[in-house]
Amino acid sequence: MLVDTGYFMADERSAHGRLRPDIVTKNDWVMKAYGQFPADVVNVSSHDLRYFADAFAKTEMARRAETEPLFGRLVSANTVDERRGSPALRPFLIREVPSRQKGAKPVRVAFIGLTETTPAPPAGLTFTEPAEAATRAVREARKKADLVVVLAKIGSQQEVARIARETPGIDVIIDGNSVSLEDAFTPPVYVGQTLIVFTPFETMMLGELRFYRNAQGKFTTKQRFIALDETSIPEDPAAKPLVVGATRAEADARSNSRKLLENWLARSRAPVTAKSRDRDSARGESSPGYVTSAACSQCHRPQYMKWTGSAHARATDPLPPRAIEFEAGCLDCHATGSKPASAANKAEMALLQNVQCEQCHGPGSDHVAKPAKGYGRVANMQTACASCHTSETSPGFDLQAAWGKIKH
Amino acid sequence: MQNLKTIKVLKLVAILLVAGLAVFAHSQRSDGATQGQTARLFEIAGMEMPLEKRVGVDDGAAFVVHFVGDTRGSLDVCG
Repeated sequence: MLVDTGYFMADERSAHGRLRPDIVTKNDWVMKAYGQFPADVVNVSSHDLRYFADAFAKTEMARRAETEPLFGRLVSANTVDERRGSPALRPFLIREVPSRQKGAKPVRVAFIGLTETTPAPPAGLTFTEPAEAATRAVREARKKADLVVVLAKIGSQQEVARIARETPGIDVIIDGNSVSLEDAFTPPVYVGQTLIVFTPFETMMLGELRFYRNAQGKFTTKQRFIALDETSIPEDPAAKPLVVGATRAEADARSNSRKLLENWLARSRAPVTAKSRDRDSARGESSPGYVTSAACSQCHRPQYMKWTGSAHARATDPLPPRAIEFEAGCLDCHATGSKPASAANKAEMALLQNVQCEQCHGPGSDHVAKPAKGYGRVANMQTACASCHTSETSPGFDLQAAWGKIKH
Repeated sequence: MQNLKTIKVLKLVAILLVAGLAVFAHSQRSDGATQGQTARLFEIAGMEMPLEKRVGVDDGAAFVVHFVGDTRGSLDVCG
């Protein structure tokens, strides 16, 4: 059997905590790899949950398990669906191993998953205390299995030892705690009757647990670690397309993000003028009715001056240094005039760089053509500001303090 | 290329050193271990061994569990 203690998905995030587009692509290929080379049981790390968050939100786990076997092999006893108050995944899976002795019953091994409690889970999920979750899961698993193995992704060796002490009935804990070359290898230890083994750093070595059954039916183990290196292990022709394909797809995703931003910057740089609007209109392109802050400044000079000194006037600046994580959605808040997709229309990318007057006050072409009171009143500032200044994008955002800076 | 080789040798030395220390430490304290479970707590089949020797032989084990972790989305060839 092959088992995985978790953190098998990449978790590099964008500035606002979302998985970067190239990382989503990378993880899509990891899914393909697990489809082709399946592991028997896979514990879910909190890092992995970010990629699976959408599947949880849509309660698609069972449906996807039909086409993507990995979904049916994920375990975590302490990842809880907040809404239902029950485990979001199976707390454990049981695998049966045929006995090598004629006529003897197969060995039933329960694999319980335990997830580390940081980083925080995606919205809708929460973590319960691992030792408490393990105690509940062991109680259930013991009724159905001959051996109980915990697959854990827990922060520290002390924490794993504590779980072993506080949770009677665990035969083995396999913990994935090697995240740097410095702690590349941690020797196995016993805590009471529980054996704790640690995964070596990344794929430097393959961990191996050999289970032996004595005449009394009791199990003993031998722990081995097999060094892996590309010089002595022959290339697998079936695996190569995955490695090549993943590398290419990831590079393409980064390149596409970069190109999308470059194209948008080139297209949006010029301020919208009456002439360009007429040209777009003649081509049949949509005319959003945006006139730019420069047009507003003709009559609203003090407000314009206030705006030019604000962060809103430079809202596009953070995008080019982060070009590889750019998505069209970034423009919803870093530019002016994005139109979300609707039943009738496709989404439209913003035409103006930075957060200009019209991002909050609405398209101003009618107002410019016929100036009158009533245009651009922001009905609910709290709602308007909160559409971009969320807890993810602007942690600690204080509406009153922010308004104090831009009051006009 | 030379750098890669040096890194690999350093990795191997580090692993063997840690493993040696761990075996030594274990021989100094066996409290808490299941009685008679293992004479040596673990063994490392290192890069100095040919692959078939690393994999080992069928010694009558009832079954074997292989384990990995922390691959972090990597499909690269490494080790």
